[in-house]
Amino acid sequence: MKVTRENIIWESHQKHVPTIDDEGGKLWGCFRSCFLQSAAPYTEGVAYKILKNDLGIDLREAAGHTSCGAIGYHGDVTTIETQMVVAARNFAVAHEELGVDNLFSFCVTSFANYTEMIHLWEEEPELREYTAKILKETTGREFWIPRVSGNRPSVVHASDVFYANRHKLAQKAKYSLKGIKAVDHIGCHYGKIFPGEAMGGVEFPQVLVGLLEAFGAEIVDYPERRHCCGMGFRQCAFPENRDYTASSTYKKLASLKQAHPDCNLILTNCPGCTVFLDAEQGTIKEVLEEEFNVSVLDYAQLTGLMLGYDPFKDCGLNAKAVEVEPLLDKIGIPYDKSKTAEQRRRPF
Amino acid sequence: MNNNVIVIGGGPAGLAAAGKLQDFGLDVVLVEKQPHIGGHLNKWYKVFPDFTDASEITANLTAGLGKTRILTNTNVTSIEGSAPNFLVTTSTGEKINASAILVSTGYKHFDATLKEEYGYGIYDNCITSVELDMMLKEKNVKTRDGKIPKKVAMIHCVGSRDEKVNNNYCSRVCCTNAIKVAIEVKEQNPDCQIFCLYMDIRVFGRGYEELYRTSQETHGIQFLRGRLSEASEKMDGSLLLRLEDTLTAKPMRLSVDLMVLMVGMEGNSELASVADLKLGCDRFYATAHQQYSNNHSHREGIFLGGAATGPKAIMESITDGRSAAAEIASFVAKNQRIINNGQVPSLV
Amino acid sequence: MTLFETVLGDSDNYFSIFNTAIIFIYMSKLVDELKQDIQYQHGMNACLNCGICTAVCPAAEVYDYSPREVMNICQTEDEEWLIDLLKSDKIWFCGQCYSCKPRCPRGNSTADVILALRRLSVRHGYFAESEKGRQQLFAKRVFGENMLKRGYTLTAENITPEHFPELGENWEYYFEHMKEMREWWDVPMDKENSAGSHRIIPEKDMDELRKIYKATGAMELMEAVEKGMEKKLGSKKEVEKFWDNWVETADSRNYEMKH
Repeated sequence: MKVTRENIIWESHQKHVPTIDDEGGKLWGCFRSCFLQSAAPYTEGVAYKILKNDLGIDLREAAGHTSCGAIGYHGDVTTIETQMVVAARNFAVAHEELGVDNLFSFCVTSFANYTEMIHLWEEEPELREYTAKILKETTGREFWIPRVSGNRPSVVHASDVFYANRHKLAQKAKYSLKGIKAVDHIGCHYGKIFPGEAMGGVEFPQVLVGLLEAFGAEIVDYPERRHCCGMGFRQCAFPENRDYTASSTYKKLASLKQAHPDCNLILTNCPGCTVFLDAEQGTIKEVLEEEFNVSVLDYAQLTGLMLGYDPFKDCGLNAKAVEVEPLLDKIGIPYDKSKTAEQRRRPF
Repeated sequence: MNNNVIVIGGGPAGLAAAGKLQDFGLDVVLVEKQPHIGGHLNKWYKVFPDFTDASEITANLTAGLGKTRILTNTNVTSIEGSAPNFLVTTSTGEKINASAILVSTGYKHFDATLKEEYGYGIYDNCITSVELDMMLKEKNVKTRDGKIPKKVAMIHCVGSRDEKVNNNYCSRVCCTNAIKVAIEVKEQNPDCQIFCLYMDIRVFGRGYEELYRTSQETHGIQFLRGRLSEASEKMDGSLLLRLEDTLTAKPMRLSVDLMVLMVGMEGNSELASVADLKLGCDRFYATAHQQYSNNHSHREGIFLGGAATGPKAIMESITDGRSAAAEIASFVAKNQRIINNGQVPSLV
Repeated sequence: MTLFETVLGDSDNYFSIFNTAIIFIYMSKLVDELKQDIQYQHGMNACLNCGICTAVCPAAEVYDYSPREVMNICQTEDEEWLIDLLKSDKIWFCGQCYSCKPRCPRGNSTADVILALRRLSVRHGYFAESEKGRQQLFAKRVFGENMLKRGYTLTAENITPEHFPELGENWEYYFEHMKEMREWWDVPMDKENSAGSHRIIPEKDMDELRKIYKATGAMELMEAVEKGMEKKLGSKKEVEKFWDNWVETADSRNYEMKH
C-alpha cells in the first residue's frame, strides 16, 4: 500500500489561501461555530490562540454576526432563501464593520453553506438580486461577496488557514509526530458538496494530511477512510436515531484497526466528526465491549499540542471518551503526572 | 490537380482506407506519427467477438496497402490551400500536394487517474483494460506482487457516460471488450472468479450478444448491475469495492485481487487547428451531417474516418475507413471530370 | 392504482391514456410545487439508476433507505408515490453528508432533493405521519427557536448528559461546572457586547436576523411544523405532551400515538 497518496491531479485541487507572508494574509475575519461552542468550545479557544499568538494574525469577529443557521437548514427548519440572506448579512457585517476581506469559518458546514450560497449567486443572477434586495430591506446592509481563494468568489475553512501556514507552525513545534501513525478524516461538508473547494480534492484530500506531514507523522490509509462519521444532523441530534452515528463510527474504526492496529490518531476538521468519532467509541466500548482507543483530535488541538499548549487547559482534551494520555506519552508530551486522570480533567 | 491523397493516421481506419484508395488508382501517402503503423491494434491481444489476433488484422490491412507511401514518425504540421489543391507540410519538412485528405487519427484512452475515487496510479492492483491486454498477450495476468488473482472485477464505463469527467457519451466498445477479456482471463486462469460491474450491457454488433451469453453460460462470468462508487486498498493489496447491486437494491462491498478499469475513448483533436476542423460537444471531430455525410468534415476535400469521429470497434473502423475511401475516390473523380470538361471546380 | 401501474398494467393503453384527460388529473400541484424548488431543479437531472449513490450512503447501510429509490420515485412524477414518500420515514433517514453528490455521473444530488422533499412534506403536514418525521418538532424547537432567541442553532445548554450519554462522566462534570470550565479554557460564555464563543448577540443584530427569517419563509416553515403536529396529535396540549416526553425521556417513541 502506498502511503504518500500523491495523485497527479492534486495540482488541479489546489486552492489559493493567503499565508501570513502573502499580502492580506495577516488580517482575517472569522465566523464562529454553533456546534463547537456547544459541544467542544475549547477547540475554537486553542485555534484562536495559535492564529493570534503563533501566527500573529489580526483575527477579527463582530459581536453581531450570527450562526449561518445551516444546522437548521440541513435540519429542515429554514429555506434556501433564508440561508442566502443570513450568509449575505454575515458577509456584510464582516466587511462593513470589521473591514476584512478574507473570511474563514470554524465549522465545515458553515464553510459549505457559505460556499453553496456563493455558488447559487454565481449561477442564478435572480437569486443574487433577491438576496441583495431582501438584505437591504431587512437590515439596510449592502450586499458583498468575499473573494478569498484565488480572487474568485469564495470563503475558506479555518483548517485551510492552518494548512496554508503549516510550515511556519511546524517550525515552531516543540514536539514531533515522528514515528506516529496517523490518518485524516475530513468533514463531509468540507469536501463532498464542493470537491473543487477542498484542498487536494475530496478523494485524497490534502488539508489535514499536509498538516500531519508537516509535523512528521506517518500517514496511513484504510478502506473506510472516506465513509462519513455518522454525525448526520438529525441522526446525531436525537438520541433515538443515534445508532446511525454509532454504526458509522464502528464501521470506520473497525476498518482502521484491521488495517493499522497501531494507528491511534485520527485528525479531523469538522466539529461533528471531532465529537462523535470519539464519543461513539465510548458507546461501542459499553455496548459491544470493543475498544479501539483511537484519539480523535481536531487540527487546532493537535497543532496546540505540538506547539506546547497544555493538553487539558488549552487544548481541552478533558472530555474525550478515549483517554488521550497514551497518545501524549507516545509523542512525548508532558503533563502533570502527580495528578490522577480525573484530577487533570476536573480542576474544580 | 494531382492524383494524391494523404491519409493522416495509420490505425485500422487509415490502413483500410489507404488500401482501397490505392486500389482506386490514387497515389496515397500515409502519415503516421508513431514508429510503426497499426495504431491501437499494436496494443491489443485479440479482438472481439471472434478472438481474431490483432496482429492478424494489422497484417491483413498492411498487405492491402500496395504501393502506398508510408511515412512513420511523422506529423502533419500545416495544411495550406483548398480542395482539390492542398499543400501539406510534414514534421520532416516535406511538402506534399494533395487533392484530398483523410483524417483518421483515431482516439485517446481516457486518463484513468481522473476518476480519483478508483485510485488508479495509487493502488497497486488497479489497472486499465489496455494494461490487461498486455498481460493477456504475455499470458501473465498477475497481481503486482506476482500472485495469480482469485477474484477480478471489470469496471465498465470508466470515463464514459460520466458528467463528472466531462464525457457524457458511451464509448460503445468497452462492454464487449470487458466480456472478451473476462473470458480470456478465465481461460488462462480457470479458478478465477470474475465480476463485471456494469450499468447497461451494450453489446450491439453481430456476434456480440452471443459472446455475452457464452461468457455467462460457459465461463460463469458474473454480472453485477451497479456502477463502482469507490475503491479502497486493503493491507494485502486487494481492493475493497463499494457498489450497489441495483437489481436486488442492496449496497455491497466486494473484495477483489485485481480491478480492471475499462477505459473509454476520447477524441484525438490534435489536428483541429492544423486542419481547421470542428469538434462536436463530445470533442470528437464533427462530420458534415451525422446521417448522410458522416465521412465529410465541414471543409471540402478533408474527410474523416474511423474513431476520429466517435468511438468505434475495430471492424467498424475498418468499414468506416473504406467508406471514407469511397467518398474520397468519388470526390477526386468528380473534380477530375470537372477539370476535364473545362469547368472550374467548386471551392465552397 | 397509480399512473405508473396503470401504464405498466396495460401497455396497449399506454398512448390512449396519455391522450386522455387522465394525465391532467395526475398532473398534481405537489409535483409541480416540488419542481419549483430551486434545490430540486439543481439536484435532480435525470437518474440512470446506476446505484453509485446508494453504494456509499451511510443511511443505506443502517436503514431501509436508498437515495437511488428516492430519485426514482421523484423521476416518475407520480403523485401517489410522491405522497407516500412524503408521509414515510424514508426522507428523514438521510444524514445530509452529501456522500452521494461528488460521485453521480449525471450531476444529481440526492441530499439536495431530500431537503426539497422534506420542506414539501412539512408544508403539507405529511411529515407528522411518520415517526421520524415527527422529530421535526424537536428540530424546529431546538435549531429553529435557538436561532430566533440566541442567533445560534445550538447552545451549550442543549448538549445535556441525558441526551448525550456517550459524552461520558467527564462531560457530566463539565456540564455541572459549565461557566467555570469555560473560563478555565479561556472561552467564557454569554458575554455581552463582545466577540467570542457563545456570546450574547446584540439585540439590534437579533432583530435583523428575525426579520430575515420572517421575510424568507423560515418562520412559515417552522409554524407549519407546529400546525402539522397539532393536526396529527389532536390539540396543542398533546403537542406539548409529545415535547415534554422527549425532553424528559429523550425518546419520542415513549409518547403513545393514538392513531
